[in-house]
Amino acid sequence: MTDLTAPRASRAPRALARLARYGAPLLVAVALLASSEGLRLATVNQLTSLLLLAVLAMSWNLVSGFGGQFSLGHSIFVGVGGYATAVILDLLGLPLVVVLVLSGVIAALIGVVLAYPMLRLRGPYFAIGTLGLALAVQGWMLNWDFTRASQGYSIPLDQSVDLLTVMRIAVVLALVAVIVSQLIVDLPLGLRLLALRDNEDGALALGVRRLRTLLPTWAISAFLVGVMGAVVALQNGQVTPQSAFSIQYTLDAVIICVIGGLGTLYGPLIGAVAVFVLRQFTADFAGWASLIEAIIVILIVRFAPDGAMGVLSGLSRLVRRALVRRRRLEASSSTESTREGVAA
Amino acid sequence: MTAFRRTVVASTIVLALGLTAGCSAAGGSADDPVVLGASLPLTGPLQAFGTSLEVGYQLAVDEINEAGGITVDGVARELALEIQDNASTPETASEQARDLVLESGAVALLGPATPPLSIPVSLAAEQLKVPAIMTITPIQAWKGANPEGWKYAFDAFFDEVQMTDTQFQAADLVETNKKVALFTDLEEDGIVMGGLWADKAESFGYEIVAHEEFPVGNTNFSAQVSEAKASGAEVVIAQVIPPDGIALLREMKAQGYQPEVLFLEKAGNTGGYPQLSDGLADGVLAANWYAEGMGLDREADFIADFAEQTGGVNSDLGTIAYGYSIARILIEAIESAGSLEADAIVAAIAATDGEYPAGSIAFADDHTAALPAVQTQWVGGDQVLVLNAGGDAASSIAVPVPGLQ
Amino acid sequence: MELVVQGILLGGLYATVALGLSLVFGVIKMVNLAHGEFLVLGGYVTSLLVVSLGGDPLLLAIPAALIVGALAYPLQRYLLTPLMRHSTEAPITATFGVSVVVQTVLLLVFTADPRTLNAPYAASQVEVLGVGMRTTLLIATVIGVALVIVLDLTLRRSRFGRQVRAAAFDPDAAGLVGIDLKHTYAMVLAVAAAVSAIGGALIALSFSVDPVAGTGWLLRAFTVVVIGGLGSARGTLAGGITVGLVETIAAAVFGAQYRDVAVFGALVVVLLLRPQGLFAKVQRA
Repeated sequence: MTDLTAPRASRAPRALARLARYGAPLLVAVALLASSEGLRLATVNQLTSLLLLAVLAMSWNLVSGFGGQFSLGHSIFVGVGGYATAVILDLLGLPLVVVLVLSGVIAALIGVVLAYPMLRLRGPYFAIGTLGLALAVQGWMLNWDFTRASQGYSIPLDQSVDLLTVMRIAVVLALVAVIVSQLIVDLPLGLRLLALRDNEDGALALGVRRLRTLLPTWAISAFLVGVMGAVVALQNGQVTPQSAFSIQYTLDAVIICVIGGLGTLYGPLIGAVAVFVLRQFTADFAGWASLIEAIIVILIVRFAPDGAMGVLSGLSRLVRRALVRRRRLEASSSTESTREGVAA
Repeated sequence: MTAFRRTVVASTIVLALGLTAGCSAAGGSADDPVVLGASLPLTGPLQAFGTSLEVGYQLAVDEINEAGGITVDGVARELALEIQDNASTPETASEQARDLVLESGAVALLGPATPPLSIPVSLAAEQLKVPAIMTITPIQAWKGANPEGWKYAFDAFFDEVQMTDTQFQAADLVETNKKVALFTDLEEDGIVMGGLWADKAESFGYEIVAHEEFPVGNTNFSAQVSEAKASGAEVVIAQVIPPDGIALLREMKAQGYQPEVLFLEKAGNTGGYPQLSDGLADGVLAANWYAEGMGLDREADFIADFAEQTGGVNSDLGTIAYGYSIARILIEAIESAGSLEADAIVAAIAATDGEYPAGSIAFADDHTAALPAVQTQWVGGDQVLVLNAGGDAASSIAVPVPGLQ
Repeated sequence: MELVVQGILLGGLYATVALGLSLVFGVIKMVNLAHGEFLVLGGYVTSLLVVSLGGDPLLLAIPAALIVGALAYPLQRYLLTPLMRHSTEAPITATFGVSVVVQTVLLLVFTADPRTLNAPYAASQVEVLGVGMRTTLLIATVIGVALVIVLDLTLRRSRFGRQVRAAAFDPDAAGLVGIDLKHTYAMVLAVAAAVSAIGGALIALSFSVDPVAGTGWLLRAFTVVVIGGLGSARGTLAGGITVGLVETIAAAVFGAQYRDVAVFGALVVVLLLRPQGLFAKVQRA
């Protein structure tokens, strides 16, 4: 969204804006961490769930929003991260931070291994292929004895983590996700991603290497989702193939990004808040929540394809245009009055 | 809108949400009702369990409130039941269990039915240190999910080890060649019970001649059924979900496979299953936790009050009785603890020893109360008791399976 | 031998189930994530007709197909076609939304209990080449082959077929020579939905349908279409038979618990090796 109507914006405010873009999330995160002691446990728990949804959506958005690769396989990384954490905590008992990072790294590695063949597929084929992969992996996990097959894996109670710590981890993770998203957009990688998404042939002609652009993005996305899956496992105390590898995670990411605005920086955050609030209100009849969500998704896709962010920037454009028009009117009427004055 | 302003908007939204969530109050004064929470599968594949449990829980709460509420710290207080719908998904059940305790101020939780939902809720109870009672959750699967032992959660239901005896005991009541074909799916209980049946067959004098395993959602049983038929098994024991059960029955009918007895566990505990399967499930056997003639507390009352609602005397009616029973146990425990202290309530639940509509319930040290499984046969809309809790004949079994003829 | 016959007949049902998906992808170039719900709706509508009117479910599947097709026409015309201009993801997302709406409404109205269609031939068996086979699967195969032939001839010979092929080959040029693309696309989705509804009735007749059964069938259909080649009716039949064979043989060799892994694994492998499908001669997509 380049601002053509604001030629006055010089370099200094732009640097300030950049500082604010990185500083504001940092401030929010620090504020949350600092005040976390005083928060009610209910708030702590809800905030954790909200932040995890947001991380999931932001990470998916990197690949599918900015990268234009409609992935239906992200549930794999939630499951890999969750299982990695449960198994490592159970068998090795490493420090929590190490376990979390390791879970993310394992998810990223598996992501790279899968992406190598998958990224050869284009458009709808990529969507179908990743979906098939997600289901094959889930089917395999239901049978794999090492992860106790369909019985699932419990995190040992003596290794379990209290909700406040889980929330702090979620805050840090969300901060990392926001910063990483912004970095990707600011760095040449982001430009190449957008170029590939908007005009692949053109981008390739200009020397953009497809795999070299998409593979790191995919790995970063898989890492973030892997850690997110690890935190979900900590929050729930257990992972099972049905829940950790549930396609629902991918669908949640799609719903949130569509509602917030696919391929925008803050859309996934806004979408996550919207979906989370909706689910809180419909907790008494969850069956209806998915109906309402789906109808909203259809309406947004049809009438506001850029999601909430699109609506917001559209509104601000309208307001700005109205302001400009009024200023012009005022200016012209004042010149007219001076003219009249001269004529008189 | 500049990037700066966008950032401010986004961060404000996040902060505002955090604060509004933080400001909503949690009740705790002596005038407020005492809240019991339950995340139930009111929609989705486990809907029948959820709606039946809700009826049972509500009945117990209403009875106590009509009698003047419960006395906590010397003050009589009303009881309130806070119910949320988890749409049969484990993640939502886990989420809602925490929410019910933290946000709605529930002092204890009542369970959602089946291991995939009950285990996450039990884990949440342990995490938050609040008492919780599960039911309609076979106790070995529940125990296995937490090898260190449950401290705040309890479970009252049948034990798979005893339940997997009943099929052989019931098969003993009729004349068969003692050859068994097993059909088990890959859900957790399918694997556990499949293993138990395979291990036990010999000690009961039976031989497993075919063991078919398949993923949940299997539709095509042609190869498995023809294998089982070729093996000549006259006893079929299956552990399948309802739609897969119908596919299995249709394939058996199509291939003209008529075993003497057919146990359709899990699928067979669906209310009105013979109608859903166009009569194919008529005469199908299923282990059960409730039936007329078990001589349970208030049996006649429950049947008179709810048989119409559940479409007959079936597992759904039993689920109401079980839900009522564990809700009563929880309420009595709070009453006898005389406080809302979690540890006091847990101690009182552990000390439970009495007759309830679900049977006589006393919890062992591992927080489980094993209730006997019986065997029932579908006759019309009812599941008729054929094997009682002692493992003896209750009424004669119709052979071969009437629905497959 | 027995496995081969079983696999082929199962493949006939799969071809019927996948035909609509293939048509939509081939002509409109759109992935329809609501395809499974067309199938399930077909099963439910037929079941409602059987309950209210009485009669043979196979005959009543025809009006059910018309009803489901009539529901699909405005869906394409007023929702999906306008979205195709925006991006390729937009219609995918919209069909995903539609699929959730249909699932949830069915769940709220009919509960999660499975539904079946009953007929004297629903649970009976016939001998094919000396191998006993479910009558419904044989019927499904006959219907599947018939639908493939009819669809193939329609696409090749009729005026509508020429319009559809022109629209598939080059939408812009087709628009220029006066073909009403909006109407053509909507008709294609309607036909696809109607064919799927018949497939759904066959599923309910052979097995059962429930509100969330669509997802599983959608994935089967995807596999069939990917293996057979998108947009080719005859390829779909070949794909259906291949999947039927893979499934039956994998279950016999590795055990039925690995059936899903084998089928979705095959989907991924074929996508990687021959994205245009095993049976497509020219890459069109």
